[in-house]
Amino acid sequence: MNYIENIYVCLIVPLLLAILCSTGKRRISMLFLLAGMTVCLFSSYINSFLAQSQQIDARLAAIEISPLVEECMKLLPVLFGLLVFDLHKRDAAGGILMTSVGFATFENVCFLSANGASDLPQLLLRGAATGALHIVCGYLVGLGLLFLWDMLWLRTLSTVALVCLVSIYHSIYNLLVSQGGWVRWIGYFLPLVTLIPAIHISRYVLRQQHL
Amino acid sequence: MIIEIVDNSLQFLVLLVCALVSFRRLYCSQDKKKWVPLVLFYSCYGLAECFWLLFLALMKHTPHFSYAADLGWYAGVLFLCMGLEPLLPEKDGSRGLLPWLAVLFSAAAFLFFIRWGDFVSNLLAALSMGWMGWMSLAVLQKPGRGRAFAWSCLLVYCTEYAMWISSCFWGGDSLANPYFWFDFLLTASFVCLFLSYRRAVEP
Repeated sequence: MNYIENIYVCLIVPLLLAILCSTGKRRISMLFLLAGMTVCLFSSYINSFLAQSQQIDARLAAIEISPLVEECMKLLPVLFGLLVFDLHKRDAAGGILMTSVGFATFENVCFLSANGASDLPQLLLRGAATGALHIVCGYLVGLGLLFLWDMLWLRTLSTVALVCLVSIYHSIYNLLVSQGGWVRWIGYFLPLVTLIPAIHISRYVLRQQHL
Repeated sequence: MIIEIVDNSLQFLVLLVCALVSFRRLYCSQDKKKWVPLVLFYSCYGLAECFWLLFLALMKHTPHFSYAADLGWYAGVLFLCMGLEPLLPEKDGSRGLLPWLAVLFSAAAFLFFIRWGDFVSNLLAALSMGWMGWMSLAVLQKPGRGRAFAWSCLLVYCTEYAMWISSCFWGGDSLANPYFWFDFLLTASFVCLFLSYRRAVEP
């Protein structure tokens, strides 16, 4: 037992207090951060269930099932915000990014609890790679929402297609890091390399949208 | 498996080059939104191909579930539909019944393939390909620069179905297997897509 639910509670309590005490955009950002951690927890349950039901080992599940489950789950908080609260497009795009950050943070905490915290260089690399991966995935979906906001059918279609795109990217990352040797190193550096053009493109799109 | 790896590697290389060239067009273009669907199409297809290739090379077998790669292919088809959408004839009445032929064919193919694959992936394939076929045939009815792109999309549509049908009667891992001929034709059609799309969107 790694008591991940207990760790989750310890992490979210300060966030909840901060949400209660803050207002406006800060509150929205922290809500999405909290939502990211929550969907990460639920994703782990769904991944475990699907791996058990399909009778495949954890390694294959991480490559073939987890990416799609995680990317779909990361979209849910923003979908909820769009449908229920009619979020502004800037808040929706920012919401996906904050959800991704919360997801990556909690995923790293899960990794720490399962594998220990002694190997700092490995943790730094793994933390940076996982964080960059989720942020790049969040950026892509968020940018698609921003760029193709005008028509509902276009926005919906592009979001679905972009979730598929980032799921593949995530699967490739998980496949590479599950191997040994130099292949794993390529896997770790892949998100770090793609983060730079992702930031560049997002700044361009934000300028174009006058946001 | 060697032929499959060579075939997929060639396809991935072509997709990578097409993606880079399309991205360069997007970067240099005044109206960048026009090039977004094609860049994303090549990215989706290319990443799906890359995943399949890496899985074959590293795990020494095909994926247990094909969802991971299939979703990339379906998403790519959706982006092709987004590229066809601005080229559609304006009035519904001028599209006629011809586009529905593609929907009919995809429905029939769905019923044929249901014997081999699972329900959900076959349904997704039928919906996405049927939609792309419908839009391609609708665009063909409108005179203009978009017709070449519509023909290219139809070529993708036909070669994909030819590949899938030939995969149901697998002829072994050799060049005598028609599956690989159609896959090489699909690779060539990706180049046609770029050339025809450039003609459709650029003055």
